[in-house]
Amino acid sequence: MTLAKIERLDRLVEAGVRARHAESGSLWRQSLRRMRRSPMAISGAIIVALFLLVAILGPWIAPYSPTAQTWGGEVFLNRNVFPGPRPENWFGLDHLGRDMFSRMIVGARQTMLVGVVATLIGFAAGALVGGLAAAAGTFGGRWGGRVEAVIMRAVDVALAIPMLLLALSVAALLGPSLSTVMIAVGVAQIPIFARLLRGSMLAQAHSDYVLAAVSLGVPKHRIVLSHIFPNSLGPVIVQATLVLATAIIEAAALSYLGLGNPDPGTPEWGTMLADAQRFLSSAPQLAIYPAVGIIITALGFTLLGEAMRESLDPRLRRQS
Amino acid sequence: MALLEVEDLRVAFGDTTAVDGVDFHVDQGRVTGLVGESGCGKSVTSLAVMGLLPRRGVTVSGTARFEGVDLLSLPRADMRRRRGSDLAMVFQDPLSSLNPVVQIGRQITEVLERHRGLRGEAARKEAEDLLDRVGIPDPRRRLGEYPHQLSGGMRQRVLIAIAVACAPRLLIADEPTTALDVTIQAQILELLKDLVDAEGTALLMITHDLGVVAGLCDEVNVLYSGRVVESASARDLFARPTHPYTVGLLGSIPRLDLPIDEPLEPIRGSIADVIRWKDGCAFAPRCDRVAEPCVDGEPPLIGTAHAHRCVMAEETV
Amino acid sequence: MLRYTVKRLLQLAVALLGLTLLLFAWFKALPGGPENRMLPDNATDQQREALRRALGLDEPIWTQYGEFLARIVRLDFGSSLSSGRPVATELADRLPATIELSLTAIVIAIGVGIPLGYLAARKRGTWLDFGAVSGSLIGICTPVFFLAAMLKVVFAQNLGWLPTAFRLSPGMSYTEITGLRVLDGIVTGEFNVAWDAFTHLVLPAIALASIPLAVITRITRASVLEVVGEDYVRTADAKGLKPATIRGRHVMKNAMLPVVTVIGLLLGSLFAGAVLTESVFAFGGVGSFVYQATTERDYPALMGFILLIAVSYVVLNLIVDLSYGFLDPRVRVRS
Repeated sequence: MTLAKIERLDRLVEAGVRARHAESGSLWRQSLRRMRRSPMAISGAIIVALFLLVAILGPWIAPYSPTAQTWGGEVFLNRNVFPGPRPENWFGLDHLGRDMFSRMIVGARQTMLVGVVATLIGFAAGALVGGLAAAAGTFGGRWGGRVEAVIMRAVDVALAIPMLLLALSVAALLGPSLSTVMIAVGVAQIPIFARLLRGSMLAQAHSDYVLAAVSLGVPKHRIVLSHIFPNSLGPVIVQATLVLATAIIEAAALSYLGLGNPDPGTPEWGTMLADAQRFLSSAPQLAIYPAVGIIITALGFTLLGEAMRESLDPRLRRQS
Repeated sequence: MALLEVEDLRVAFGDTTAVDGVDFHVDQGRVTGLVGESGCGKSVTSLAVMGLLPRRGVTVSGTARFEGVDLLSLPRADMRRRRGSDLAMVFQDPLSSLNPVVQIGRQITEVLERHRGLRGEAARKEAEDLLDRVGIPDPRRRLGEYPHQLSGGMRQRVLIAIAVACAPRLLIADEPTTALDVTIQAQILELLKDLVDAEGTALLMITHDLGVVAGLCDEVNVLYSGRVVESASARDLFARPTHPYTVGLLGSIPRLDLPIDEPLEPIRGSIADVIRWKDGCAFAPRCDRVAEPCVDGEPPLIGTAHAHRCVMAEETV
Repeated sequence: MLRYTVKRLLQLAVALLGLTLLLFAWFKALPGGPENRMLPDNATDQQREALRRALGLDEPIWTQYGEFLARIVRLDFGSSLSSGRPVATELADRLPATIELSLTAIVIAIGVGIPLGYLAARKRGTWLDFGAVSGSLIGICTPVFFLAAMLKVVFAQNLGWLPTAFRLSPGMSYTEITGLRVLDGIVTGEFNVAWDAFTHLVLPAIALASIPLAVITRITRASVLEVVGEDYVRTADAKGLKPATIRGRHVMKNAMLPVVTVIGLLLGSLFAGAVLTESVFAFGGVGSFVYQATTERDYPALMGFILLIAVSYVVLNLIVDLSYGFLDPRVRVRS
């Protein structure tokens, strides 16, 4: 990974930390107040809220079972011409005679699960790696410094591998299934989270209040766990929101490459989109519904994440 | 006739008034100070005169006549032709005011090229002479360097070289020493003084530092909350400060000639505690001598050579 | 500049070495181990043992890694399980197609993205700005393979304006020089070939350009907005310079720095996008090959591909970094 980029990343992190010190009051409350005035944040939050609502309530809202091939006969008789929207099936039928509308609604949950689990994997493992590196480097003395250097070099190497490749390699190890997709996308995010958290923690570690705590004799592990770590999470949480969007898109791409589970019982938008490619010229709507679902959801998380980032970063805020 | 005559200059950013009817003038070959704490509108005043305020969301009114021509109503292209040649500016932070990815030489020659038509080797030679004049050793080598390779004082010298490159008749210096070390500050002020003395350039010095004023300025205008509250020759102002704000400014500086246990007298409150000038004296909320007449409408400017804006002053003098 | 270059080269070497370690670990961890994939399911234990010895799998792990490394240096990735031909040959045959496609896409992305981002910044708050910002957000959020497929359905299948697949129309004769067919057609004077190859290139290149274009537009806009607020732009203005000079020398020269960094970062997603796009348009490049390798679990092919992409990604990023050092004198001196 390249120094210039890393420095830029670290600069952004520092800027966020500076903003926190420059302004009084709770950082999160202030950000929240700023975000309430931003149309970007509001539209993002509405989309995300709607998506979560559908994802949670899906099975109870859906008019039909998403797996029942209720209209199977009708579809199989007209080979590859699937009925479009009509009163009893708002989004028409899929290639197995299932109700598309119900599949979209119920599919939201699985889609959310893919995004959330993948992000959590990346977040948790990345935070562990980055946190360890930062803690070792700050308080571990000479050996700690070496440990940090080794960890971060490894992270840099991993960062140099394009995400889809990482995902591909993981998927090759585990065989095709939806959990493969989640793990693959999650693993690919580890280096980014590690870098980000380390940068953020180092910025905190050099702040005056940490110096004060050290001089007061507060044990080092306490300083790291109860001061540095929680205060460093801001940029990481922003990144997690953005990664959630990427994860949903990447998961769809992996499904398209045949690494997901083709048509599992429970619907998922990425898999649906990948499956629908076969019928694209005769029934493009089968691809369009899940694609639009993915695009809007990813857009919602991206808007929310970007708005959060802007509200945390004084440099960006000034110009927008 | 004054070289620059600013009358009733007002600048507002949206609903916030930054400059609220400033009047002052700068005479040919003189050093005029514009003094006040941060937020009093002194920098905004200088940017308005230079035509450097952003167009979006900013309203400017009043006049700023430079050799009889109102700069504020000049077409943008005409103003652009004057900037850098007739009037030039030195900024506060020399590091951020120089382009980090362009060689020093280029940043000087581009202004020579624009206003004096110098190109190629002629421009480089002139740039070298300029650097030499502002006291930068080994100027030929410096031309090829980048801002980050220079020290803070050097950078400020480069900015000064750029500003005087086309022999402007008016030089505006906006806190040119604030970002520098104390030892460097004196050198830079000395340089500025030498340059304007040698060329007969008028200098508008914007500062919060009364020490700078005492050492450099012929005339002084004290700004408070976007308006001039006292205007006099430097000698007069220090001898007989009249407006309570000026008095307060002078009283808040540590002095060597007073006993060490003599307490400093800071001005109460902050610049945020103001009332609008049209309702009364903006300084009233922080003033020890405040009385009924102070908040009884707009305080007029009293006097000519040594003018002030305090309605209570006559009674105490 | 020399020290900077040397340092970057050293970093490159470390990164590549680390990469081979990761790859080796990956290869060892593949399900079942290589011997199981190369033998029928009903093989006896003796057969397995013989194969393990033949493959050197009974050697110490470091010896195995050394041999692995030696094979990589010789570009010997083994034979593709599906075609039986050496993976290196397969990749080399297909590389020009991918290079042609990626180059076109990145040219589109830079050529459109930078002016668009600049315009959006200059016309901030207008409909143009809003359109550029929301367009690029939607671009980032659209799965590439879906966009590619929709372009194909609409412009190739339904409207019939452009060909649906492949790099040349069937029956077109072609003289190969570089393998970049538009270029070859122009060089050899076979302009009908160049044109035909170009029409085949348009849709996949647009699809592949979508994400880089969106990102470059956004970064350029943000970067220009940041730079126009900088003190040195005000200094330039105070010099009375012409707007064109201020724009070029003072705004854009600085605003391009983050854009260059991002272009380097985008190369990863460009390769990923190439795999997806090529498979939609049966473009016959490395991407199509990998799509097939993935679906058929052709591990040697996958490994060759991963190494190829990782190496080119690291090398391209080195180039980007060096050009960054060239553009920004601060980086040159600091390191």
